Amino acid sequence: MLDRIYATGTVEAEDGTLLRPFPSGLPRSHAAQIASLVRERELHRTLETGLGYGLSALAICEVHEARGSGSHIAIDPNQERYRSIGLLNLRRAGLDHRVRVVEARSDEALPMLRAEGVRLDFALIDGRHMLDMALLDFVYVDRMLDVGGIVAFHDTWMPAIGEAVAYVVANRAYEELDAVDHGLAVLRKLGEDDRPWDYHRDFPRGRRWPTVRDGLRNFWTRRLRGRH
Amino acid sequence: MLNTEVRGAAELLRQIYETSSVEASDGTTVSPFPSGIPREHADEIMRLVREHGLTRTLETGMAYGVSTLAIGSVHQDRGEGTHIAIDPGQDTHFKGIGRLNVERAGLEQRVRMLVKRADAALPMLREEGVRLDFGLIDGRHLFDFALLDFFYIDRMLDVGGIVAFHDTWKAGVAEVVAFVLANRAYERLPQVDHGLTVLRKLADDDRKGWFHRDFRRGRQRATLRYSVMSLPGRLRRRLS
Repeated sequence: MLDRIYATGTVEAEDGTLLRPFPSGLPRSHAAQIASLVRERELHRTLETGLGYGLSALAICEVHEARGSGSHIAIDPNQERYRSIGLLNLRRAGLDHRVRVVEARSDEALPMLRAEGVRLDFALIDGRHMLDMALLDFVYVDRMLDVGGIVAFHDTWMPAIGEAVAYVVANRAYEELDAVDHGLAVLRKLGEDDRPWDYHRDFPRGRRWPTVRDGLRNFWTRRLRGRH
Repeated sequence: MLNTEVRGAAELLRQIYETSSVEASDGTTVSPFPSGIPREHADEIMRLVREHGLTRTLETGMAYGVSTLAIGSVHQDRGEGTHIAIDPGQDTHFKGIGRLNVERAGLEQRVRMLVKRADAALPMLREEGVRLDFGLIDGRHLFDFALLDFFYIDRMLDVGGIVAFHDTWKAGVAEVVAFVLANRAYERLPQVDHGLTVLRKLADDDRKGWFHRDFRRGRQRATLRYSVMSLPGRLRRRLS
């Protein structure tokens, strides 16, 4: 399923119309690195904010399915906006039994999951790309993540996400692992949060310069689709 | 020894500032400072709550209940208003003194206390449908946690409502204020000093896509008085 999407550059709605999943969907190189992390580091309890067309969920759930263990939680309040193609793709790939889709804002879904006692090995933060919302996603994900677990931030070439990553690296017990490019940051949790109540380390202004490809994605989204 | 027979939040608050002490259930007294807000901040918060007609109020970081008494005294005097006070360390770190002060002041019917972390309590309150006119952010003074407090308070705050950040001379809190002013529809109101920042909500959040405005970094310098007041606490923490 995932190979076909990347080969054709399209996803299919329920009525058969074809749509381009990009730039919302993550590029192939990022999907490959996330799949590789989940496979090689044996990350079984996974979560993402921002299901979109389901590309990242397919990449993660394919690994769970291939090894016969693992479950995924995908949070997205706007599946209607994506014509529910994310859900459809998971069903078409026969992976819907591996995933729990929570159709709610992440600031509502994540506290609920934490209250349920959910624990995680891996999380992909790819919901709303604003500093406050990305950091809020991180705070709750961190509370559910075991030490040694991995958090990946997508679209880190966007200033807000770059700043969120810079804050975490400077202020929290996380180390940054190698990533394929500047659009993805991969952090490993080294310890639980034990900061004093007023701890603060300045964090560098976080714009990471986009690759040419990400720059073109940016141009497409901002100019041709008229987004802010 | 404090006079624990006092009735009324304003009277108890006056006594706390005069004696610089609060009393635990076993009769021992402790200084509520620097955890508690200084008198000029309490006066300013009371003025805001009174003059702006703010009746649905909330605070993170109740501690010894000094700010709770300040806000609660206005509600009590005008016979209208309810307050929510959040503090996970109320029964441990603060020995339940904030709760005792609420009882001594006769504010039990006006104050709802939540002995929980703000990141657990605030989403729960939003889910309940709570609406606010005023929020005081004075919990953990970390950038991520103060930002989270603001985020949920904003979702419950009506347009025209007020958010106050305490200890804005702390770098983490000052950065949150800078972020809010640059990225959200809030305006700064006049402030008594650099330790208290008051913002008024101008509109609900309608940011789209990956909206981001760079925000000025840097702490607001503490006043000399505040530096001196907080010195014992800072030394204690440093030594521990």
